Amino acid sequence: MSMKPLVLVDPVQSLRRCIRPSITHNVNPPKGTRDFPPEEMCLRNWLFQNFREVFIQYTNFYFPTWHCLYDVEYYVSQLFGFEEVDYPVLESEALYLRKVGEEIRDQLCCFEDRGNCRVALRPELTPSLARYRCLKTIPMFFSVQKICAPPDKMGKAELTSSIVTFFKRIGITTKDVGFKISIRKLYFEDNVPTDLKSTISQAKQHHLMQNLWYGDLKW
Amino acid sequence: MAPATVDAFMAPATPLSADNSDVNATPHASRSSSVSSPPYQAVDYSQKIDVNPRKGTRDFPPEDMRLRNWLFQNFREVSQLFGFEEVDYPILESEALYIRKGGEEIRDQIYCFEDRGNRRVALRPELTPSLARLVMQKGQSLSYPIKWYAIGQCWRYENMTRGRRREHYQWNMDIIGVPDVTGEAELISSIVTFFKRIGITAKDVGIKISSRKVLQEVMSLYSVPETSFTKACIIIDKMGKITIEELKKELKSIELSNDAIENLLQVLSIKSFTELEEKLGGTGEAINELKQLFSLAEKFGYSEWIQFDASVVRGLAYYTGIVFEGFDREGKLRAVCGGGRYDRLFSTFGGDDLPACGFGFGDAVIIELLKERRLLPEVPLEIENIVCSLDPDLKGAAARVASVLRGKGRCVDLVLENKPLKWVFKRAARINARRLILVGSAEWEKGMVVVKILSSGEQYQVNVDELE
Repeated sequence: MSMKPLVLVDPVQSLRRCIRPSITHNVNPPKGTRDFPPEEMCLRNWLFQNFREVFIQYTNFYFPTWHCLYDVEYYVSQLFGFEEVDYPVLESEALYLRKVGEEIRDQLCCFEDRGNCRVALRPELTPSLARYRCLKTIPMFFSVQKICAPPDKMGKAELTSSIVTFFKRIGITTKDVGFKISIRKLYFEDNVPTDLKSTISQAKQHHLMQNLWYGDLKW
Repeated sequence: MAPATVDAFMAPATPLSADNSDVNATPHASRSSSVSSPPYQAVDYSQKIDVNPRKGTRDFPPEDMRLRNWLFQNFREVSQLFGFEEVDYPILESEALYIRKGGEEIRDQIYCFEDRGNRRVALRPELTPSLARLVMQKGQSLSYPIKWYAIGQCWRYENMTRGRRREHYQWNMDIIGVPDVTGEAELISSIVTFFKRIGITAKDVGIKISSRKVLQEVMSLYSVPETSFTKACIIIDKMGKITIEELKKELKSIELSNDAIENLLQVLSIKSFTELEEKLGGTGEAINELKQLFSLAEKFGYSEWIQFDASVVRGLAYYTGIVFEGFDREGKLRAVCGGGRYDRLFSTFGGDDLPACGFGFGDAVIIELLKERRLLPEVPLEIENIVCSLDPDLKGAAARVASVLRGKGRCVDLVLENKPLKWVFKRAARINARRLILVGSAEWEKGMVVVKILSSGEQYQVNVDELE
C-alpha cells in the first residue's frame, strides 16, 4: 500500500506537548552539588586513582560526600592490602541518628520515601560498614574507614601511614600538612582524676608516637 | 598541657572543651557536674538497625566490588578506545529535569522527594537529561562533536512486590553534534567491541535496529493528533509485555483509528528491508538512514551482530530517529542495552537543538548473561606480600619493612597483631600472597629479613634496604 501522507507527524511538536514547556530548566546542578565535565573528571579520576593505589584495594568512587571534599579517612590502601567495598547511597535514617551533638545529624539529607520509610542520603560511610559487619561475620574484615579487627595502636598507626604514603605520592610534604593526634577514650575514663588526664594522655601519646615509627614518619 | 586536638580520622569531636576546662574539680564532681551525660552514647545498633541494605539496593562486599570494578574497567577502556571523555553529574537532580508526560514507565517510577528547602528533587533515573543540562550549561565553551561517557548509579522507586532493583549502574556513551547515522554506527561499534572484549560473541547476543521515523511515516498516512506520536511509541514499546488486545486498547485511547492501528501493527512485524520498502516506498528518510547504517556496519565489521527489526522503538519519549537494543539470543533475559538518536531533546529544555545520539548499558543484565554463559571472570583478591614480625617487640621493625616495600610500589598486607605463624600462613593463602616476609630478632640485628616464596617454599635472607 502506498498512500500519500496527509500530514507529516512532527515528532518535535509531539515531544514538546509531552514535555512541559513551561519549565525553565536550570542548567546548574542542585545547590551544593557538582557536575564533573571532562577536565574536572580527569582530576577526580587522578585523585581517586591515587587513593586506590595507596589506599584500600578499590573503593567506591561515585558517592556524594556531604561534608568534606573527599574524606580521606574513608579510604585505605591497596598497597596496604585492604579490600574495596561499597554500600548504598541511600540508607535508613536510623543508621545516622545518634544521641550526639554532631554536625552530621543536623545536616542529614533525609526524607520519607513513597513507602513512608525514613531514609537518608548517607553523610558518611562508617554506619554502613557497621551495619554490614553485623550482617556478615567476616574475620579480619579490613575495610574502608576503620580497621575492624584490631582496635589497637598498630591499626591506627597503619592508617596514618597509609595517609602519609598518599600525601607523599601526590607531592605533598611535611611542610604542607601534618597530623594532630589525640585519644578520645581518655575523656571517658571516670576513675581517672581530671588533672591526671593531661599527663596520662601525654604518656600515651608518646607511646603512640613510638609505635608510629614508619621510616621517616615525622608528621 | 592539654592534649592535641581532633584525631585525624575521627569525626569532629563534640564540644567537650567547655566541660573539660574545669581541671580543678574533683573527679566525682567533674563527673556529675561538668559532664552531664557521656557525649558518646553507645547506641545498640543490633536492636535498632536493620543490617540489610534497604530493599532494592545492594551492598558491595569485596568479592562483588572486584567484579563490579572489572566490569566498570571494561566500560572505561572501551570508551577510551573510542576517544570518549568521562564525565559525571550529581545523583540528586531537580525533579523538573525528568517531567515528561508521555506515559513512560521511567516517569512513574521516579524516586523523588522534597528536600528541606522545599525543593522537589529526585535521585536520577537516567543520565541523559543531566548530560543535556551540562552541555547547555557549558554553552559556547565546548567544541563539537562532544563525545562523553559516564558510569553512574540511577534510581527508581519500585513497588517491592515485584522484587526488582531500585538502583543500578549504567554506562552511557553519547555523541552530540553529529547529525548523520555515522554517530549511531560508532556507538553500536563500541557496544560490539565491549561484548567481544568480555568474551561474548554474536551467537550470544544481537542488536536489533529500527527507526522511529518508520512509525512517523506510517502515522503520517492517517490523521493522528500531535501528542500521539510520542505516546504511541511508548505504548508500542510494551509489545511483548502486554497482550495485543491491551496494546490495541491503549493505542485507541490516544486517538488512533482502527486502520492506523492495524497498519502500525503490520509494519511492526517487518523484519526485512525489502518488506519495509514495499510498505513505505524506497525514498523515505527512515529507509535511507537504515540502509546507510547497515552499510556502515559492514565497513566497521559487525554486520553479523545486527539485524533490522521494526518492532524496536524503546521506551523513552525523546528518541527521534534510529533506535537499537541489545538482546540475548536465547530469549531469557531483558534488554542488555538500548539507545538511539534524540535530536530534539535540547529544545525541550529551552535550549537550541543539537543532533544527539547515545545509549545506556546497565550493570545487571550483563552480569546475568555472563553467569548464564559461564563467562563470569575470576577476580580473586591478590596481595603480593604479607609482612609479619616474629616478635612483639619487632612490630615497629615490621612496619618499617612494610613501608620500604610500599615505597617501591609493592602491595603489602601488614600483620597488625601478635598472631601465630599458622594464622599468618592461613591468611597468606586467603589473600593469594606470593611472598611472606618475616622479621625475626636474629636477622633483624643484622638488618635482614627472611623472604619466603610461598609457591615453592624457597626462602632466603635479604637486607631490608635491598628488598624489592
